[in-house]
Amino acid sequence: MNTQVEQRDWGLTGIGDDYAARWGFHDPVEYFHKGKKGIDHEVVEMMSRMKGEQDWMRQFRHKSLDIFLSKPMIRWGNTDLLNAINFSDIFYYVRPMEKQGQSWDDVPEYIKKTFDRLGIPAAERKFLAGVSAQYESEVVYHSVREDLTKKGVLFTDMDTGLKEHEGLVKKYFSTIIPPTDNKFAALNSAVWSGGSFIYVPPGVDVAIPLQAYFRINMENMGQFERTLIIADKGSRVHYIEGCTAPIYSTNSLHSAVVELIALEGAYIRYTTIQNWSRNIYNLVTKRAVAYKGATVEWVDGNLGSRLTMKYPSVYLMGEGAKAEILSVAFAGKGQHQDAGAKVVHAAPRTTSTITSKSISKDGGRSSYRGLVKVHPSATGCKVNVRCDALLIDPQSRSDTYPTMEIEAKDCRMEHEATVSKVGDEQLFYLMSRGLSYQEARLLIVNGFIEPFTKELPMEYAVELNRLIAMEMEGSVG
Amino acid sequence: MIQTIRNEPIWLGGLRGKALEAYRDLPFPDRVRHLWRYTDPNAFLPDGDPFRQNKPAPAGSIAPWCEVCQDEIGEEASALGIAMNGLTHQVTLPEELRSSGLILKGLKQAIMEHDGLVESFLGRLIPAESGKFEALNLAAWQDGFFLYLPKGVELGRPIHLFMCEDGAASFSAPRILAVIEEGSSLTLFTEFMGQTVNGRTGRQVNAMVELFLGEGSRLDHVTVQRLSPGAHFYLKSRARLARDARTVSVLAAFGGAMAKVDSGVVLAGEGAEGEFFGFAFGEADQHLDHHTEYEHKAPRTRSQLDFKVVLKDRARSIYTGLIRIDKDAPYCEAYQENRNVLLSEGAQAETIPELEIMTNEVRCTHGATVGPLDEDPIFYLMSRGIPREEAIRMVVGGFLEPALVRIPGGLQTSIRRCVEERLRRF
Repeated sequence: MNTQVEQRDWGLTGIGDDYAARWGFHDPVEYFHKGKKGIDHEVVEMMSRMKGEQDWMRQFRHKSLDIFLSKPMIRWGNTDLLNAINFSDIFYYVRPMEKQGQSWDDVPEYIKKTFDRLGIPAAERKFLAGVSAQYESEVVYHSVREDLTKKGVLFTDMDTGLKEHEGLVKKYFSTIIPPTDNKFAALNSAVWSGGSFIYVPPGVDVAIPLQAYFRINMENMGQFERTLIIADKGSRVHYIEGCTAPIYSTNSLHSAVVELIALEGAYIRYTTIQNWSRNIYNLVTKRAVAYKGATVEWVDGNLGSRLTMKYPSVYLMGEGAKAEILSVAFAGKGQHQDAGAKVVHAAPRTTSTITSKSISKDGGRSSYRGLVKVHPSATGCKVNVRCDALLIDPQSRSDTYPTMEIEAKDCRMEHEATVSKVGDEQLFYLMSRGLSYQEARLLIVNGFIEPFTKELPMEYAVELNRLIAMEMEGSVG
Repeated sequence: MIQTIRNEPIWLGGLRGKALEAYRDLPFPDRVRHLWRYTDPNAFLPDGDPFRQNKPAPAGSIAPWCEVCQDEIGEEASALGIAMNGLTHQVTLPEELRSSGLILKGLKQAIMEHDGLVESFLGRLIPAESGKFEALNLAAWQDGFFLYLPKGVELGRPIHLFMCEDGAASFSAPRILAVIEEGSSLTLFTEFMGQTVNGRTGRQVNAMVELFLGEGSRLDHVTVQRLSPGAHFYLKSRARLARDARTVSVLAAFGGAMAKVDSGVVLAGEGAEGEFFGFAFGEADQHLDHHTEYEHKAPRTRSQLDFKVVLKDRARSIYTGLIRIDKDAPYCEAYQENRNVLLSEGAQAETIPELEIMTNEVRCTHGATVGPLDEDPIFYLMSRGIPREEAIRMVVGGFLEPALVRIPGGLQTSIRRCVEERLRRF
């Protein structure tokens, strides 16, 4: 804890307030609002103070920073890329106003092209490319918001959630992913900003998928977003994070923490389609707990980023709880998609299904890394893990690293994995029906990921198919 | 230091010296890495001085062991080698085989008599850099076997090598080197056996097996591990296959308190083929850690692997298997299967089948299952009047059959007895 900073901070408030009145001009640079590169207790203190947070959160941030600093870099996965991260060259907190500085001309050509092909509205494009800070969606989705409020559903950004529903947040925040979990969870805990906070009251069925779009603003897509979803007893909710359109940012590290809590009999589905621009490290911790009879489903698509490390996990804590993880990864040129899934069976008669599909092309590398653990007390569990990989060309690479730890006698665990190329017989058949080689190949690839696409809301599925088509043509990157 | 004591050729002294350096310098296995996540490497560090010469066992005390070995092989062996506590005790090679150019000798003796031949192979497949315990063996081995099969010799009957541990030595480090030349074929049994004698068990056994297969050659290699319940066993075996060579490896593992076995094949020549059928049967508090590694380094190579695990009591098994297909190895096929049956409440199975595929013209799959014994066939057998215990024995027997049927002759009977013995106590 840095008390010096605290005092200094106090001393400086108010400076510059009367500039305009005294000198007739106003310099918009605010002293502590311009974040500096690198991370230390000063940055964390400044952030927490600017957000006007309670003492417990401020202390939590400082404690997390200590953990981040003391934890060594993880020693598995793509260590070459991980060790290349320069933590002192990153802005950890950037105020929305500062982000407006970017110009549309700086946005890479392939991102603009993708926007074109996907038919993204102009206002949204600028927002997604980080050019415009505000994208006013409140008006568009006003009726949706009203409907939710009537049902008692809380749906805000995390910062607002913390302010307005402190009791709830304090009860669940960081209980699923403590800062000690891993280095990047610690980093997020120290400097988190934005993300979603959702609470669904008992028995409420949120019929439409909740999307970050409903309340889109810059806080939403921070680098270190923090999402907390609580589905109370018997409720149902489907949340959709991100979008298929590429998100461009000049900041190279994205490290989110997502915590889901499915209380007795609740149902949560969390859908993500990640399409960060190809300079980004996407190192994300996502975890859910499912209590008695609850169901958690992760639907996870990874298309963008340079390196993604993301293993959505479910802890099955109550009898009869269910986990389903469905993921797709597409690794193109220079990309490493290190994605996977993790399920811990800690209660009897729990079931889990993991389905992973990966595609590697143009020297890309995709890895499935997973863990299934069945505790001795978790009797009568069923586990099914299936990983399929498709290699488009001889330069690409696919790895499968599944781990299964079974400590209960009557658990049934099945795992299966295949790696192959696009089948010659399938190509031949389609081409004999008049399809070109390109079309045939695309059709096969789309068929390969179909178990994933069919779980997406229609507009996402359509966009995803278009994106895959572009990737297959090689018109991206 | 080591070389002067042992009066060995200069090249070997150099090799041992380098290995010793590597043993000292190599970092201790990282427990974050999955290969050591479940097994404590401390278990394989020698208690005493690993470089102290083990004393040859007196002939009288070895005699009963030799009888056991003879029993097991019956009439079928063409040649036989017995080692006790890492020291070669006896090699029997019929004259007609000797005249065909086949060499079977204690490794130490082979170095005296076939210096150049041994030098060109020893430590080439499992060099000191491959790991701390590998370096330890290369620095500290006292004896073992050297087997050389010249071009075009097809041996009809198997060669048996026995590595016995009677507990007189706290550390033993046998090393086996086999070279099979172009077009030859061979069936080789290597068995690690141990008994508790006067309360002493062979505590630390660190064994290395290097197998070189020439073009178009074939090796059927059966490894049996029946060490005493207190033993800590570290085994690494590697086979390197030249063009069109073929090997079938069979592994049956029963013994040891802690066993870490790494069995690998390098498919280095086009068209080479490796098959593996193995099983481990754990009981009591045994900790059995098996790793297989199939490296496809050449086009059109094939591998198929089937590893079964049966566990009762509080036994724990860890299986990690890697299939790696190199960039320059298109048109490969690889298949890997690991099935685990847990018979008791406290048993634990870990399975990590891995794939690393760097090219796309491949067919590669793996599957893994963990579960209790399937009740349906047991029910069926019982409905036919077979008692439950008997039915369980039959179903487990059937589960292990793919490996069992590939163990030839008398040894198969002996292994079946071992399996049944364990099930009887269940």
